[in-house]
Amino acid sequence: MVTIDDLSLKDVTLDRLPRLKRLRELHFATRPEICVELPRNITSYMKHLDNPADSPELRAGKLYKYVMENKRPVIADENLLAGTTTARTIGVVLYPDFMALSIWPELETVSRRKKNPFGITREEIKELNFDIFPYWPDHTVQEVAKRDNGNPLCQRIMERIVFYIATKVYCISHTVPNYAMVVERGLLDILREARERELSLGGSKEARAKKDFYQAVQLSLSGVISYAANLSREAERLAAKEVDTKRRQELLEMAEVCKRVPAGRPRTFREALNAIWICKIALHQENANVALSLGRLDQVLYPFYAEDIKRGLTLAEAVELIGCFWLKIADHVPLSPETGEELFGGSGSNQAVTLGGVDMQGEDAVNDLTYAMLKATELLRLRDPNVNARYYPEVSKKEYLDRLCEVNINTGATPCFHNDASAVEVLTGQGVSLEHARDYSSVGCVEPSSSGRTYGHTGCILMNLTSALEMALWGGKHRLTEDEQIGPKTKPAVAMTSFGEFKKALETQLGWLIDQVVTLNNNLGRAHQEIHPTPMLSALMEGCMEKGKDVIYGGATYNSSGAAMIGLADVVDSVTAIQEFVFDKKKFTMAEMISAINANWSVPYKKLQAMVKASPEKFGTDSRMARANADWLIGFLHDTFQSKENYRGGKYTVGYWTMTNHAGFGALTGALPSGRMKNEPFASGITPVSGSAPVLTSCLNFVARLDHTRIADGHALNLKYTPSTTTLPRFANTIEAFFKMGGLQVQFNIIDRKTLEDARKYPEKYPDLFVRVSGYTAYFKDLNPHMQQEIITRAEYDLVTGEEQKYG
Amino acid sequence: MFDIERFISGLSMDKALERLGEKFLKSLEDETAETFLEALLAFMKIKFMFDPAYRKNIEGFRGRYQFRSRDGGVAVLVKFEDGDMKIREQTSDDVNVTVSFKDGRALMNFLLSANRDILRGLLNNEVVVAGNLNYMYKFGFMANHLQLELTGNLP
Repeated sequence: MVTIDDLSLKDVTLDRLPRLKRLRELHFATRPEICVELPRNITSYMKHLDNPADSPELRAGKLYKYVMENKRPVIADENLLAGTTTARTIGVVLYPDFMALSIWPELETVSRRKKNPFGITREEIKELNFDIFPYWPDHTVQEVAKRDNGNPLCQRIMERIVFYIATKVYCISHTVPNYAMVVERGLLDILREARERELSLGGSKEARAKKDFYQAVQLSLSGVISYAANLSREAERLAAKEVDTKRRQELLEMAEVCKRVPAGRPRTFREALNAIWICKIALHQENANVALSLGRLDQVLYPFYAEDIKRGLTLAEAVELIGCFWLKIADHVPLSPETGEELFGGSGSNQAVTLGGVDMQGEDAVNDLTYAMLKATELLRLRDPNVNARYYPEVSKKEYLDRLCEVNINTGATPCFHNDASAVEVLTGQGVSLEHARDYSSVGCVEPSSSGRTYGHTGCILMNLTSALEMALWGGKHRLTEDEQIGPKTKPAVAMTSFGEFKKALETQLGWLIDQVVTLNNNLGRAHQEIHPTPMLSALMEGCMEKGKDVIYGGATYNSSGAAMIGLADVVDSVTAIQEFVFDKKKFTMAEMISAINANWSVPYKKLQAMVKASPEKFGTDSRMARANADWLIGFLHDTFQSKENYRGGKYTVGYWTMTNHAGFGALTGALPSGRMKNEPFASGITPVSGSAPVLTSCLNFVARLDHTRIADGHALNLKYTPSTTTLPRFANTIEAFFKMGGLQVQFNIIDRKTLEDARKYPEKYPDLFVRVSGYTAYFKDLNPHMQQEIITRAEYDLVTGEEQKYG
Repeated sequence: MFDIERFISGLSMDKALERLGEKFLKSLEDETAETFLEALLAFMKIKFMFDPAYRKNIEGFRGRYQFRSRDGGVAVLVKFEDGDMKIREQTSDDVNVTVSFKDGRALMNFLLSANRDILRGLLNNEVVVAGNLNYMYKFGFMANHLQLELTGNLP
């Protein structure tokens, strides 16, 4: 319910919230440091206490109980919420059974590397090198999957980087845990349920497996409760020696909060926030935070907020608490070795928070807390959380959309906008009930997922579509891997006589690539089942308790796997250029096209390149040819992925969001038939190639009319508006119109090129400048040069003329 | 591969380390880095022999590495076992990891963090690693450590 008059909360400022101001300054002044606490605890347990005779679930339960009991309670700043992801102010968490070992060669240089260095002490380097890492070379998910499947082709292909990435080697993530369960019940109640279910089972083999699962849940949750108790004791200890009366009182209150939650049901807004935060920390010890998202916090927390407001909590105090929570969420960064930085760097943890939209009955769910959360977002301008706003045309209020636009203008890059009408249709199309579909939240970048009941691992596959295009052009070979026959042998493009023949070859290569990446994802999923069950995540996921199954065995109510496609517009434009110039107009032969791209469109081919680039037949325009090719490609990918089953019995879904991968994969890819030059970034998400879609309305029309039910893993339409032309009414109208045409999602950078160019040149002047990348937000200074260039050259529209501002 | 035993015969421990360290550094400066692998392995071996702190890296470690150049000119099997390092000019399938490289410069670019050009390595398809990548990461640490130590750049 909305009761506040001033939706912008103009009286709530950082100057009036000095704690938040100081914490924000500390956040930006702190260099991330590698923290060895988690790998130390995990390794120590595995070396000395693990019992390999136990089932995988039980081993995991015992391990995470140990991890949480031995986690240091750190209360180091004046944040009102207790608990930290690591023992550092901003920590880099290492997961030894995932990809921590990739930093091994760089341990002695990582603190001095040019881009995004991480602090680490000499002692920590020694500990990692001599004590921790040596245990793991044969025990990581990647290597277990390789060993179990005889180093299969699908895994060898991933190691060539340019074809696809299967992220299960890094994490079990990209999901929304059920935090409503935490605040409505408390962990002791969940633990009690697990105990009762365990005791009700007989002695069959199936029952024994379930018993192990329930025991694992109890063990891991008791570990979380122990950690909260340790935090409480630490707060009391600090309070005892605190001389400042106000701070002492805060610490004593913190001690009381942690005595109660997350074990018991919270009574206040602060307790509810701290309960969720402690559970988030726990989940983060079990799994790398790669888009471990927060869901609909304005809905989950509203009852506590509303009660506290009745008891006298002010809006400013509520915003301060939310701000403290937002800063906690930003207390870690993902590990990234040099190669990762070079190709894909700059990403945060992509923890999405979802605001607004409709409730399970389809009624407007925007409330006062939605606006308080928007205010905290506007004041802090942090990379994480990634704020996603839901809007239902003709159900949500216009003033809500205006406020969302205002926050986007003021922050330059957040929130992003989701169309409830389309997202609900997407989810019901995948078998989600209407009520559950309406209760969706965004995962990671943009992926719609029914909150707290779906394990969709929505980012488990990142596939470079242009690699299939390359193989279609060169009979199954790729320019990067030279003479190796990677894909199936298809007729080389130079010998093709019709456009249909070319499309068929592309389908063959795409189909083969999809087979490979799905096989790999399933292999890795089975490796998770063998060595990395997730009792804590399972305890907080609807369906697992009822089925007596861990999330990774299909315990969640809904199961799927999400594949994000990279390079959509570049491939559509390339296919369309081949159709138009080689087969329809016969302006040049396929052999000439191949020579042109092999020569990177250099001098003899400049005229051809200009002709191709000037063609209006492009993704994001009124072109029927490009639309038909886009529809065909999206349809083919959807149908092929949907025909596959994942290792949990769920379906594969396809999305078009790219994080920074469009720049990384682009840097590895040669020139394309679209006129794109070698190494240039691909267009991001579902966005047209910069310079190819000069008219905003055509661009919006094109994307809105794509069949979003075949884009079930979400899409990111990334647009840039010139700030001086972006007035609230114009801005809001473009979104409203896009959504009424059926558009699924859109996001904006409201920033001009001049500022971005200056930030690239003088990063020290812009320490907190953040931008929308493709789905999530990132600090511009942290992005690699390819990605910075892509953001700078990304199409920028003037909202007065509705046309693209030319670059250069 | 050159004969390490002969190279250091008659030299004191310090002198042997110094001479092979110089050889390793020199291989880094060479334009083609043709002798990089040979110099790296030789210096690594002598460090394991004479430097107990460095030897700690391979205590209790068993690992088999195959290095081979794309043109077939180099094929070296490196075995770590019981705190010892053995270098043989031979090929074997019984290894933890195989590294195929275009040339010495490419291998150097792949292994050593300092002045690395990651993109160039990837774009030129310079090094292909097959097998257990974690073994490669460990080897990468040991190689980088040597360079950092010799150039006075250890943290």
